[in-house]
Amino acid sequence: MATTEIAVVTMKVAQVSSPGADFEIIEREIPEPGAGQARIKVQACGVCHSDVLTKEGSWPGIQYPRVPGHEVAGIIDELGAGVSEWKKGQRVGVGWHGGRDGTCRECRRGDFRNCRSLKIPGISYDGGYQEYMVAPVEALVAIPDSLSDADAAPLLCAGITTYNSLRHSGALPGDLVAVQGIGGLGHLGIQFGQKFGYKVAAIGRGPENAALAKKLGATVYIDSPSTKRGRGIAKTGRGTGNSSDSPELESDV
Amino acid sequence: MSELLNGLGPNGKLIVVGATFDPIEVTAIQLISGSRTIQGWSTGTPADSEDTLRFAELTGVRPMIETYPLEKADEAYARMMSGKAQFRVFLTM
Repeated sequence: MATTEIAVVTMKVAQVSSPGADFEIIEREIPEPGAGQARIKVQACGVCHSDVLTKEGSWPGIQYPRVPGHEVAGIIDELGAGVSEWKKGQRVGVGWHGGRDGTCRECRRGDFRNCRSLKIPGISYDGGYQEYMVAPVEALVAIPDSLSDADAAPLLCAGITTYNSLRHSGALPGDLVAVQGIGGLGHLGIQFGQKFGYKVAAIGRGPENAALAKKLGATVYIDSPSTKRGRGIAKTGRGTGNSSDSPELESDV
Repeated sequence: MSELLNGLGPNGKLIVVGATFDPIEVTAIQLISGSRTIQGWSTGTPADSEDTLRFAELTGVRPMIETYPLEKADEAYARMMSGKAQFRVFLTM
């Protein structure tokens, strides 16, 4: 009797099998996108401090094994049923906002950022630490051609967090904005703040970071171990002090 | 964080974006003097992400990254956790 062999196409995945476990590199079957979903051939994925929530299991209700990653850049590889607004081959990303319910009070008001059952890639479903991932199309972000994957992926969590918080902060051009910590978030917060026309005071650790802070766009550098931070900001002026805090330097706070 | 609050001007705002479980210590006097605000902020919608990318394209804002292959996810994660990365850790497939 003739047998038909079904070729199973697999992909490489970095998964966490239980809270606190090391990453496992395994082969899995490439997932199929369902209705309203897209499959993305992942090119790159940022490693964000909040991946600790999946790695250590500190976010409630995560089902394991789970693939972390919510700073994804890639190419649409396959579309599920009913998707017409995105095209195969299109460059897309996925950030922290991985899908909304569309029915809660906040969604009905258009406040999708605060959806009560917001889906988060790498927490609610498998994220970007894998060669292919599936996401609902409302989570997709179009990536401009001039930005590389390396430019775009980190902007989808660290970038949007600093950009969006600053543009909604109420600070006006010329105001003083202090950015605490020159880390994953802070190095972007300094750049965005400078481009928004703020006087940016960067608060870092050690004199060796002064040149970098200035290069990123800071007007003032405050070396935190040697200057009382609050006093340092007060000395630079009495404008709006508006601080973004970087998890990299949180222990220093 | 408490020290930072003392650096705020009148009507100044402290926006907290670093996600940790550490408590923030603040006295009522620190908030009342100068009518200061502490606010948390979480990312944004995919449309906000597109705004971020377009603004970066327009102005030249770029992340600084350290790259690791997917197979070295453990090493990449440890590097991010060390707080020594310059500045975003990044996996390629």
